[in-house]
Amino acid sequence: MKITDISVSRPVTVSILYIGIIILSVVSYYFIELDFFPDVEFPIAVVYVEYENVGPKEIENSVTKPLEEAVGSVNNVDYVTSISKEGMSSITIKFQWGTDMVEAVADIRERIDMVRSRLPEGIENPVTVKFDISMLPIMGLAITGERERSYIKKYAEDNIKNLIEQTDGVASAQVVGGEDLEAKVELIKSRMDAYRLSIDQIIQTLALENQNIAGGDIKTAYTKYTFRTEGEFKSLDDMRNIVVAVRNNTPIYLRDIARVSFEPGEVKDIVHINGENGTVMLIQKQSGKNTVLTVRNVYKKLESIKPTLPAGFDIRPIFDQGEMIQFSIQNLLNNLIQGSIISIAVVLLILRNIRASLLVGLSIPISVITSFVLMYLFDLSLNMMSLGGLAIGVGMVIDNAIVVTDNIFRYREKGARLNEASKLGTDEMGGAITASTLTNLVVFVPFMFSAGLAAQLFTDMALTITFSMMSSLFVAITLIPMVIAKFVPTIEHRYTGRSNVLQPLFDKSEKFFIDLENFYGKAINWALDNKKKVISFVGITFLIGLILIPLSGMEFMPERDDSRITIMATLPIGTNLDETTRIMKLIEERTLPIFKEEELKVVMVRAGYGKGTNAAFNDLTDYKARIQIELKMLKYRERSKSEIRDILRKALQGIPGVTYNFTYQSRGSSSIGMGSEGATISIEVYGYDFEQSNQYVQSITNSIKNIPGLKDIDISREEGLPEKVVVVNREKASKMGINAYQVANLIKNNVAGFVASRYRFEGDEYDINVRLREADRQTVEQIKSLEIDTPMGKRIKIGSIIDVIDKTGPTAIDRKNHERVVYINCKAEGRALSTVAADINEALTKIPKPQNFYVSIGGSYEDMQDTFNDLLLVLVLGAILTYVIMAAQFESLIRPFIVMFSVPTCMFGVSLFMFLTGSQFSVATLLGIIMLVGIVVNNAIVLVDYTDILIQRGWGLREALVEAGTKRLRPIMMTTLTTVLSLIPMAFSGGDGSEMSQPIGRAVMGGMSTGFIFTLIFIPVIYMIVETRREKYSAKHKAKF
Amino acid sequence: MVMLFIVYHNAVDEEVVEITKKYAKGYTKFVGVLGEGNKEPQLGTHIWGGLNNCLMVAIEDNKMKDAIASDIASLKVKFKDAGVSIFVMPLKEML
Repeated sequence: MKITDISVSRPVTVSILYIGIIILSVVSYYFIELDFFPDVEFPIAVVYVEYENVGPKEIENSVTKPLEEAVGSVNNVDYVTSISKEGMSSITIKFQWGTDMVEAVADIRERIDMVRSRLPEGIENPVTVKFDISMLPIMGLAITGERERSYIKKYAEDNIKNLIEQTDGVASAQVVGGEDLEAKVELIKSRMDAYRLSIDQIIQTLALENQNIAGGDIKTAYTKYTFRTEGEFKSLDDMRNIVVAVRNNTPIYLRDIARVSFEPGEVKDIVHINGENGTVMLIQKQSGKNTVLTVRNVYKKLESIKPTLPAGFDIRPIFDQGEMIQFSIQNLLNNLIQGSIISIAVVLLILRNIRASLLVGLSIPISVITSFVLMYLFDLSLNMMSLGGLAIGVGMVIDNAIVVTDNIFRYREKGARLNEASKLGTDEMGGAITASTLTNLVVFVPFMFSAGLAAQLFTDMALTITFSMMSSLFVAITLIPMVIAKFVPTIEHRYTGRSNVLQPLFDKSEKFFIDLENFYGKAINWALDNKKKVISFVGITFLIGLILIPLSGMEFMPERDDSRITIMATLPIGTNLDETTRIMKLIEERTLPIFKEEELKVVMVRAGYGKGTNAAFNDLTDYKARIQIELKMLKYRERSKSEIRDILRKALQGIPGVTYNFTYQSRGSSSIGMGSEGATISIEVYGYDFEQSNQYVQSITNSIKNIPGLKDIDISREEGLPEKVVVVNREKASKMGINAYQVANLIKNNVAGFVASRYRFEGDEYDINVRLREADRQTVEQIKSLEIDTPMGKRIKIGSIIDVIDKTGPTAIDRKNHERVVYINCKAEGRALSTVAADINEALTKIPKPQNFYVSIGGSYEDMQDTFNDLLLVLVLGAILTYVIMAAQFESLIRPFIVMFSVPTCMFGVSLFMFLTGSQFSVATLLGIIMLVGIVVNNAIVLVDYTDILIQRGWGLREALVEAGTKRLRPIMMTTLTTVLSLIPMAFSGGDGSEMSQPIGRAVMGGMSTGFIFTLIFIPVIYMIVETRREKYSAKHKAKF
Repeated sequence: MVMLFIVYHNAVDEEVVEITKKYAKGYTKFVGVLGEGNKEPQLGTHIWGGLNNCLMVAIEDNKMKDAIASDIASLKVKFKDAGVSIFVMPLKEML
């Protein structure tokens, strides 16, 4: 029994099956994770090492280089970049796409262990982390209060962090900004000198005294006693009262030579929220958890936390991804619903039967919701790409149902009763709709062989289109024949439904279709008489299409309005954090009034080197601040992100000494932003010598700064960090038995301080930081007066063996692939990325290059080129596979060759549409073109197939072409119009998160429109040429025999 | 006694079977038979996709035969595209 027989004869079974599918779909929908983008695994790992208070050059030589060499030999490494800055070496290893990152990170750790002995003493352990997009915080909370920041931070860590981390879905909550409390031991130099004490002695004593040590057991006849020596400090007084030395039988206590206190450590960063002091809590979600639900849970938790806060404290969200996702998903769902309504309206206009049109329309929601079950089974999240796929496919999933219904009605015309017509009509079309579904889907197969960013991003979209199309095929051969048989009893002829309300419209449209068919018949005849003209016209339009690509412009990803503006403000190098804080207040005063009430969520300012992981992943310094403006969603505001950014550019001008970068991108991470900062270019200048590279970079900057559309030029290397370089006179030092290491250590411990031990207080542990008090370490002379013990028992001032030179050095040294590099980052705005990059290339050729220097262009331009190449390969493979499917379908090599001529006809429409709508070509557009290859051939297949049939039935070539065209015009129009018109909401509605799907919608709309019109004329011409030549060839060969 | 072979387009299967059952005690149906005649060939191929069915009906009374022929003629008027042909031949006996 055939599947159609079952579906028509067993309506109860089919109904139950679909009710089951609907229930499963609803359940799946609630279990599917909601996210903004698919779970892209970036093949990036980062190794960072802290080496406090050591300058960039020293870090480069002693830490970065050995680590780079070690990690560079790991398998599948694409390139290695590094940055050596004060106190920190950070190495980023970019692997080839598709690399198993768990294995790669294990390899990196192994290699680092092998070189660990070559690294200097005193460095922290190297930390290796895999870059994971789910590591990015999903939500930020601002915690403000009328107390000092260290208290706010402590309060947040002790009272809020745990509660947030207990929330369902939350992996961790990290408190950023604010100083940690510490036990400070501030040594008084004059007293240290008087007692002939060194800082090392104090450090050692503190470490040795602050210990609890188990001493074993003693046993008596009946009892066992445990010995324990208790030395840990229980209070600051315990610490103050330790004896650090004995002089003349008099004990010298720590309190005699130092001030001991428990207070906030050195301020390493600042965080302002809407101008107020505060701290920020960044929340990460657990892998695989639903972002929207997690954010919702955190909001609920906040409601219970708020009443418990001390007076004057406030906690409020500053950003959350959940809102963005919800708005974007809602926007796409609206597009999907509107597209569905348009498709059904088109079907109604052509089928002219309200009931049948609605039943055909059923295939849309059912195909879409069935996809949810498959998405759940394939572990796909509901994101912009997967839902975009469903929205794009909405006009296509109805096509199979249309074809089947049209054929059922054809059987009704022949006299078949309802059940019989449904069975026969569906059976007959089964093969054809399977083949056309396969051509639509086969273009996505090459994505399986590509591991690049495009494949990672678009696989979800390809899969959901596949799911919905396969579901639509199943619906067309099971549900549609059953419901047509049951619910459309009256139809006996096609295109003749009755409706009192719509009858005038139906009559007019019938006249229109008949006129159109007649006109089209004449048009084919004309085209067959003017083949050269037709071919020239199509050729010219194809060329125009290609020419329009650079005119429209090219970008990597469409710029997203992610409701966030990030501005980097740089003050003169060497500016301390206090001055930066003052300037930031000025900036806040200018920034806050710009926003209308409905636009702004929060302005957050951060500056300072920070500590630990934060320092490793931040480009902030004491003189470099990040102003992060969180806007309300696009739906609520009239001005776009780029409009507001332009206003800010003007408003922030004129603060002396401050330069801005309004499209900040961190080094070498352009693709990670996935379009949030638009089209970026990174000019990479390779060369060793600092001075030469500075001059070369300056001359490049001067020559490109006037290129139209180029904005926000930012040079990664900053010269001028004031340094006091201590040079040890080795001869004098060695005579004293002292080496450079001892001198360096002495200065480091006295000036930067040393954590001697940990102080346990009220259940928490704090650093015991020992160093000279501030008043004793402010001048070079004071440093020179530090005393050091020689092996001969003498005590000398280090001033006698060192010189201190004033120098300036780079604040950070970037390297890429083991060479020093300077990045000149900039942005293309108002002009296409490709044309700006071309201008830059031209400018670069005119600048004389120093010896051993070379330049390359990276940033999103490089990503764009790589991804475009990947997608072009996918396009070519997709076209070949489409040909293969058609060759099997036609059992011919010539017929698919004719059909493939329909592919280039869509190029003109794509380019024209992009040009007229002011859209640039991006990766998303290219995806649209790939999809078009599979879709646009369908119309040509119908034409060629029916022409073949007519010829084999004995029709003449020309007559067959005209007849096939006119007879197949309506089904072709119906399927094309549903696809094209259903994309109107997606292509034009805009709204939150529409930036990625909009170009795909526009490309498919434009390409299908011209592809449809040109195919109707061009394919008959090509058919005639090929067939005539084939006949001539056959006749010639027959004549020979 | 006559034997009727009614060959018809499968689209009108239900109608033809109904007519036959009105006048005859039983029938034998061959589903999906191929053939060419005055109308479109019914060859079940990609070029000529249609299929015929065939009913073999034994009739004892000639009046019945005429009644069937008359109903089929009306059916042909109603569905001009659906070809229906009746082939009549003598039947010696039925065991």
